[in-house]
Amino acid sequence: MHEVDAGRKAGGGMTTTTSSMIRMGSTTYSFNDEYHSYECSLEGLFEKIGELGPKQGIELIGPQCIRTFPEVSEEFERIFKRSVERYNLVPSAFGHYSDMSRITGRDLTQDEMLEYSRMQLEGAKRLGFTLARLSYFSFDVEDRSKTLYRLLLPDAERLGIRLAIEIHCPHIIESAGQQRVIEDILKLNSPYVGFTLDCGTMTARMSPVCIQKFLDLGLSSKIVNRIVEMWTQRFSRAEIEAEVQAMGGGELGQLLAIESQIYFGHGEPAAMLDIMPVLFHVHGKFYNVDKSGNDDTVRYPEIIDTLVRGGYKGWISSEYEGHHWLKDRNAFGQVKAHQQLLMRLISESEARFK
Amino acid sequence: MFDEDLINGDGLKTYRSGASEQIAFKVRLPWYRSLYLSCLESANVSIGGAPIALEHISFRLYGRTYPFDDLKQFYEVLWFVLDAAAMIVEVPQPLAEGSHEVILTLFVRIPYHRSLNFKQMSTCTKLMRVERQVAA
Repeated sequence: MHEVDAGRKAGGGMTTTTSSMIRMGSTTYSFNDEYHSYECSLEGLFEKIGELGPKQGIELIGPQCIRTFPEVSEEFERIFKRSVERYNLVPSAFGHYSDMSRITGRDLTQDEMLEYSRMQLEGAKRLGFTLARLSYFSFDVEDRSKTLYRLLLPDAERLGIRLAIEIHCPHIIESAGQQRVIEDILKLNSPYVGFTLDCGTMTARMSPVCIQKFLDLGLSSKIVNRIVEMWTQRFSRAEIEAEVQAMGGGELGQLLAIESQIYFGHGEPAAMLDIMPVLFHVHGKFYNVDKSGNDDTVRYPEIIDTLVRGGYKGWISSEYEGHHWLKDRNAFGQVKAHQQLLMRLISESEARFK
Repeated sequence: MFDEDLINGDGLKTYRSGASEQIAFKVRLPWYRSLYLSCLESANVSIGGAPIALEHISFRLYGRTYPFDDLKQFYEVLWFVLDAAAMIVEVPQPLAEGSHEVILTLFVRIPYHRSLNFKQMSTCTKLMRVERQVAA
């Protein structure tokens, strides 16, 4: 059913950092702390990402990097293209945002939504991108012909930009709402509409880094342990919040209850096989690569096995998110360690599936 | 995540403004990406333990000053993530010389978390030193 060999031969001439068709990249989101604190300039980020390896993919978060967002100025275009050349980068994904509640008190109209997205895609094209991560938006669309991806399809075709809708916690591939979108996109069967899958949807546990942060902030271990237990037993967000409130968990308890749901998904890596034909891009979300070179939270060994087995050929953009809880962690070192982990797992999986 | 830098620097610039005094301090956007001014939903400010009413709080960015409560209209003005802005508060009596504890809590609407109706709350407490300015 999954044409592994055919898929892998199709792009035989691509430059990769591994022997497979899976390519390594990084999103500017990984370096939020270094950038926001002025420790590293925008061009400094490009340079550091380039140091991760030849032909490193760069995912650009539009409104983080571009002062004239949603438009791209000529000045930015010049700086970006020069950096791509100078630091041997490949524009791999443009981080699009729908910003549906940008206007106070109401959602954007369909025309406003389209215009805002179209400007971003046109900018992405000028920067040399051929894929845009489409930011999450509501699944609860009555009429599927009115979804952003269908309305944007003529623009995507005109500009040669593949739309990759993000699947991110609290939604996972298996979620009912997500399944409706997947069904619609498989039916649409366009080479221009597919998914970006965030690996935070497939975790083995809540990150120890997150748990430690809440203990350090003073949340009692009794409440922390109960939230972890309820997460493990897959209670709903409402159930966890209600119990935390009853236990007197306060604001901190509520925050951990919410974070357990928006950072750590219970998705099964095997479910990726169902969307493999429309899996355009993978967000390599991770929270902490430890001294042994392993990530303690995301189910990477099974994720990589499934991607290799399914013949995935595309980018994995390393997306470090430990900075949400820990400062001064050296995101560059973390991303480098993460890519080494991925490349090791890819080699091992390839040996198994040869 | 970015709360420590919400109040930027440690200086309180004070200006006479008619019978009252204006106090300005620098702020950074407590989020990883730029947001529109319309996303700044509310602000709580206290100086030396005294809370300041919202009608006495203004926001200054790119050379323009907005009453805080008017920001909701400006959905096309992007606060670029690297740029510092200023909060300006008006108090009836001049601040004493020396240092004062300033607490700022900012509520920011994240415009792509529509279904979650997600508001980010950021708080920063800093001891700030009065830097009296000569009246213009």
